Amino acid sequence: MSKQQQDDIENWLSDLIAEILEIPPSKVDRTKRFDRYGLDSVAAVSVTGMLGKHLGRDLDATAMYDYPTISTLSRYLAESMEAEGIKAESMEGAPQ
Amino acid sequence: MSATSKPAIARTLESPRLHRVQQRHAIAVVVLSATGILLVVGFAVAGYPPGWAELANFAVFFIIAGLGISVGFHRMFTHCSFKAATPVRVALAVMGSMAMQGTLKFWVALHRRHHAHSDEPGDPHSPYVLENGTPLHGKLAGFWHSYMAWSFGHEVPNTAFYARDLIRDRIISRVNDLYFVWVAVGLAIPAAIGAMVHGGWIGAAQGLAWGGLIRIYAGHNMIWSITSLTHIFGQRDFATPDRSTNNLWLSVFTLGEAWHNNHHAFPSAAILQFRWYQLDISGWVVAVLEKTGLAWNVVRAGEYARFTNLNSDLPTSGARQP
Ligand SMILES: [Zn+2]
Ligand SMILES: [Zn+2]
Repeated sequence: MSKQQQDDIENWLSDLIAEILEIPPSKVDRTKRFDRYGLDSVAAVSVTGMLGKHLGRDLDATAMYDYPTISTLSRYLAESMEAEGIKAESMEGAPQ
Repeated sequence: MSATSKPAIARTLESPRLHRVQQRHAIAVVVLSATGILLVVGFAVAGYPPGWAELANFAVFFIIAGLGISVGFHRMFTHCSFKAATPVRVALAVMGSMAMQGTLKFWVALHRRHHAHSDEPGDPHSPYVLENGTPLHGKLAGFWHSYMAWSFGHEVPNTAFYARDLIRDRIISRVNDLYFVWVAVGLAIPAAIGAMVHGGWIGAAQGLAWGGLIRIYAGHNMIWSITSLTHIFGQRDFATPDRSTNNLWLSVFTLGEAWHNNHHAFPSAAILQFRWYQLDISGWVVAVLEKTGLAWNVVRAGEYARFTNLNSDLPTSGARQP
């Protein structure tokens, strides 16, 4: 479940980075650091903003510095979203 | 969540944090400029008027940073009007950063936005319309907005949209990210020169003031003249869709950038001297780089630009390209 989610985010991010760099998505290395891709702080805000909108959650621009590759950021997001999902489910079941 | 939905990359970013960063940078420029003015006035009053060393310090660093902006940031990085060896590209990126007009990628993104929307909604610094589309009716309001007021409130141009070629460039990206180091170097070297010439702290402070702070202020006035005056006063040799103008009287101080109507008519031309009297110092530098083999693929406007009748319509292919 989380793995599927992670793959989805990874693919989406790779597509976006590929579009910015104007290279084929297959050429995007998911373990390469974002700053090595030449993304400056403005471009990083652009990427996290779009990713946040895509996932329907607020995403701080610092996420790209804390999790500096496509694969680590995707894993972090998939795991935290799964954890939040479990919490939300248990909250729903809990008496108010 | 579909993995295939294609995102559209925005031209500008709604980011309060980045807006604050931009605003603080603009304020820092004003504070440093004012400090420079206070320093030189204070020194003059205290019996240390500027001598030849101070004026030379100023002139040398004005030209270094100015060529970095004009030849580097503008003609090469923004408009790709010539290609150059990597050391030349790095040197021009460093020199331009010393001008303290923002990072290279920011500068390029902002200026490409100016060319994409010249004197129309979306132009960050038009005398005729605000970036959000509100028309500017007053002459004075238009001048003030396009001179320096724009720098406090413009949209954040998205480098991921406007400056992708630079994002792809590994070495230039490294230089870009060291922006504040280059600004500091541009202050430290003239201060060191001042200290060597006169000895001691007074010499250093004079060098800092003339070669650093006042020089940064003058460089901003150079660029603010382009964003405002060369869209207001002067001759329109070419009937471009914007309102850009040519101004002989500004051409030396702006290192040739005041041939701004020539530039809007032929944005990818590296040399703006279309007629013999159109002094273009930056263009001469490009020509020297070409002669020495450090630059190549130098784009020239061609015969049309030099021999066409004034105020003639342009061929559509010539205009509107960053
Ligand atoms: Zn212009
Ligand atoms: Zn231009």
